[in-house]
Amino acid sequence: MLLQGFGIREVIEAEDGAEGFELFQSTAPDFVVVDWAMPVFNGVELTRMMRDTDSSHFPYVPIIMITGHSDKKRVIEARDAGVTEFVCKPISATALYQRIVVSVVSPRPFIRTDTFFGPDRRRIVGALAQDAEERRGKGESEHKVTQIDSLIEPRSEKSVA
Amino acid sequence: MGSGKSAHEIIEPPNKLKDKVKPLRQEHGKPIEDPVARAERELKKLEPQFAEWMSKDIARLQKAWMNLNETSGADGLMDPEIAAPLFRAAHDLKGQAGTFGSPYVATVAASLCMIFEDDETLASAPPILIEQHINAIAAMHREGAESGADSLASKLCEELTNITQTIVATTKAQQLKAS
Repeated sequence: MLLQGFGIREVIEAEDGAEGFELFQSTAPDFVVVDWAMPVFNGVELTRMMRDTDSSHFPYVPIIMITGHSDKKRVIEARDAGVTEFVCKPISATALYQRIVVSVVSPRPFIRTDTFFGPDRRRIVGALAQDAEERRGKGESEHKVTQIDSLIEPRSEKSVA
Repeated sequence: MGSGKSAHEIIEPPNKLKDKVKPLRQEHGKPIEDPVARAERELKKLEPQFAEWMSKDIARLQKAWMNLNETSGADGLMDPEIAAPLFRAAHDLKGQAGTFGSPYVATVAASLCMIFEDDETLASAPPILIEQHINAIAAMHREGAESGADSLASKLCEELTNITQTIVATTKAQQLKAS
């Protein structure tokens, strides 16, 4: 509903990660929104499949992950699977819109190493910082904001490759 | 810079998406429509349906709990695979309740999700704690505690979250010690 409200004309929904991958392969989406917790394949597994250059039809597609998991380990796992942008729950229209706009206006270059294929991992830090700031501005609990803040650390693409 | 071969390749994929996006209509140099406000209006329209969705999700949560509880071993150990539907129901409630302004239900559902986030935490959590979370969610929905300040609901959220966080922290400490 939010996506349609932004003016996106065609939104295709999948019941689970397996159906999501089938639809992804057959419909050539402009971008994909995944949830972390999905039946069959979770959001990270689905992201890995979509980024697999051997089997995916569209490995460069922007992938926005919506997640309630803001603990550092999980965010890094998703980022290393090739997620483009993050939106933490509860979802706000502003946060989702900004992530989509960033994916369209200033997409990140892709990096390929022996162990990683996906958008440059450094800028995700900026997106999380912005999320923390927005939530602080809205008076969200400091615990939640601190959780997001704790994910923000400068990293070099080379250092994690 | 090192003289060796670069360990990574930088690729600039074509930006096909940019060609499909129409600029916002403008008047006197300013956009005359706000897509975020429009999306929020669309979301607002869904609010009347939320109570019904939540009732269905709570019924799904309770059914998943009954199934999990019946199939758990005599030692109280729960099968993570059978627990998956319960986690998904709690996860859906956490997301939707947060988005539609039911912060207490969202908080208790978030605490419940933490129990299921790894198998060791699930094994350490007493089944009664899971049941208390589910009962709290059902009671908050039934009693209409999902909006505005409600001290009892607030206290319940705090207590359940604190207990869960303690179990999660203890489990992580034990895992670290063992590794």
